[in-house]
Amino acid sequence: MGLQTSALLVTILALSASLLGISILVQALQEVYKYLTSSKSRAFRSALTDFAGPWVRQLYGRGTMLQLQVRGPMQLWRSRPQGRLLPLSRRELKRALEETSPPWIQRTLHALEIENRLASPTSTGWSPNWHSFVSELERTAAGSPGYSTAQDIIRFLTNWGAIERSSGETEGQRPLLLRSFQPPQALLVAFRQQFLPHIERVEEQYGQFLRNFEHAYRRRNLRQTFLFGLLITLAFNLPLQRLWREAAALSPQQAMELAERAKALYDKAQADPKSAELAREILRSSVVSSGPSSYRPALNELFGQGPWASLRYMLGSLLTALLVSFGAPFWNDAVGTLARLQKRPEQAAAAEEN
Amino acid sequence: MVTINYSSIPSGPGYWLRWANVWAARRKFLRVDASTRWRQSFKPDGDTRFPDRSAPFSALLGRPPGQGFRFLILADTGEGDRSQYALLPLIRAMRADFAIINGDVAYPAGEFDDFERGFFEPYRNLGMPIWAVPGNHEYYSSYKGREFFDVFCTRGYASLWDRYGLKLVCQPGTYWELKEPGGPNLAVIALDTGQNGDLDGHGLSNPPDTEQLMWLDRRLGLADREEVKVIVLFHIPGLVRQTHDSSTHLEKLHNVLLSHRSVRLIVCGHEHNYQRYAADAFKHYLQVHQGIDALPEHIPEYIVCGGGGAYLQSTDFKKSEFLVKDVFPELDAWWQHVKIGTRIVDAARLSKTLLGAIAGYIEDATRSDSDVAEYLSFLLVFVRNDPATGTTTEVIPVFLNQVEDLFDLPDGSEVRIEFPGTPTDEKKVDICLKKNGVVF
Repeated sequence: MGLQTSALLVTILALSASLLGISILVQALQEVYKYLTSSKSRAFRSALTDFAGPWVRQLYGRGTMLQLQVRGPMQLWRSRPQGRLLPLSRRELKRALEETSPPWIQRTLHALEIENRLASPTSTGWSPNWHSFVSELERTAAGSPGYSTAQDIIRFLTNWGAIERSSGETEGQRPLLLRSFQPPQALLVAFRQQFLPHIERVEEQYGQFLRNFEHAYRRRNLRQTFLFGLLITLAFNLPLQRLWREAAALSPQQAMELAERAKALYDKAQADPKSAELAREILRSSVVSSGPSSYRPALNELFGQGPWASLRYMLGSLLTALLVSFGAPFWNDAVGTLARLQKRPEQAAAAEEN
Repeated sequence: MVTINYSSIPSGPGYWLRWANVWAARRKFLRVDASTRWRQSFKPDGDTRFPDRSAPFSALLGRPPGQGFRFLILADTGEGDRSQYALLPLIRAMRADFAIINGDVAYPAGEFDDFERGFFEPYRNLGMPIWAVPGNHEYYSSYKGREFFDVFCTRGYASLWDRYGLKLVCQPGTYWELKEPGGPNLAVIALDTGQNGDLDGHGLSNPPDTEQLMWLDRRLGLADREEVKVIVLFHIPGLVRQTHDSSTHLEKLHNVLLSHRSVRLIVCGHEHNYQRYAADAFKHYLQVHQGIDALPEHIPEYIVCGGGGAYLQSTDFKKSEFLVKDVFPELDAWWQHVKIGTRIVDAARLSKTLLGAIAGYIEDATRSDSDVAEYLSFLLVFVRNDPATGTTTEVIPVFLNQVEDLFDLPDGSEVRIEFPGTPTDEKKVDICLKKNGVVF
């Protein structure tokens, strides 16, 4: 019984070491893929659109938000608008979204924020900046782009008692007058609520959005790991039954060596997951090096031995991919634990001898 | 005969012959309809200006309704090609206070680019607010109609409205009501019939839209009590082409509409021509296809008007269960317009074969896409509010072949689509238009 358990332990150790090796290779390839496709930036875009609505895609339009956009790895021309954003903090996101609003709204917001910053308990009047802003607002020509927004803002400021029309025959003869000063804080809040409610909502629920994004990014990574795992399994002919057979054929010393090699690779991968040297080493290791020479039997198993054999082969490949998608850290821990278990009886025997 | 000059429009005929457009609308076939759930996920940004989705007319007019106002009802507008632009001189000529688009605002699939090409660009600087209801094409978008919601019901695209010189007044949702408390004796209720015209919850993944139907019942009940006359708009009609469209499931909607005497007119889109059914025909339809025997006295008239700019559809109806009262283009005009290919296929009795279907498709996509802009149509609604006599509402179909009369143009003249729209005097417009109106 003890011997059987030990043999099983050796097989599982060798299998775990093989899966760790494949996982490291998948991780290395995935890191390169994520870099080449700006995966995080794309996940951020997708989570943001799901959360706030398709209107946020304006952030990614040509010529908007140039200061926040970054180039992808293959975008070599500096002048080309890029359309990629790195994940933004609450404040950055709010600022960026505000820049998608109409120019007059941005300008009013800016002017109100200046007033708010300048306001003190002893303030008694509007700043010259506010005076010039209102006179400019008033001069917006009828029919010009932005006219109706400017009119909406004038109506808002009038309703809130910040400005009023002087008496006169026609609207043109009734210039806007500033009314007595009032603390701009309330005006700013009301302005945001009326003209930027969609941005206020995103800001309020930013915490939830961030959780959504992290969840979406994890899901995307998991999907990628599984797909890469499957591709490598098929490319190197590594269905689970083959890995098991090969693991079962190893002696305890060979299994332990394999485990140590895999752990050393893992440590190296932690230091630099995208290193070409690491990829070469993994490919040279016994974990996957037997792949290309065994294509013929693999093809034979897949197509030449009837539907059940094909199904078994595909199922085995899917199982390998599934196990690989647990990730290299999981298999590293598993190999460490199993190696300790394997060493324990040996250490006990050595202690007895001593 | 007046010709419309579209030379400034780059997009030519054959919209549905372009593979990209057909592919973009692929979700028509591939996506299971769950529009009730999709629509219920659209939440306004806490805008409480319009409680219970009811906005006053003054919100769109920018003034109190006073002695009256006028507005347009268009549908199936958004291909962004020549035929859509062809209506612009006439739209401007109507000098309406606002417009309502009764679905299919952005072909082929209601994506953001489609809105830009099929809504913002054509109606640039139109100088009036526009509200809309989503049609089936808006629900083919990547975000299942949310693009429509973002454009019309939130301030997310405010900068775009601004850039195109259009006045944004956010709608309270994809279905809504316009009614002025203490104002004219009229309400306009617009409904959202989703991707396939299924409010009954016929599909496995689409529950009945109880929320919308209960809202409608509530608003109509209020209108009954206040004795307000109601025009109801929705995109996908059940009664169309003189028969019942068996792909729609609107029985519950029809039941709600009939249980309220305030409903005076039903206006749909979806079919790209003009069909008007008298109350009797609609009554007969309800008895035959909806199984409603105990019908009230007041049965509203029923108009299908989807000639707002998209390609035209045949008015040579195959069935005649419920006869139309008026149709545009008339049958003779339609046959004059269709090319010889379809006529040959029809004469050879091949119209129901694959060959006939292909010939018909190509015919529709080429011929009827731009050159027949003269057969486009929309509705003009005059609301006159007189303290002595009360409110009079006239719903008048406007056909593009009336351009000549409206503008008092000599035969053979050319109208550019940039035509500024200063037509003849008001009386002339009235005389031209008051042919086929519904008055209540």
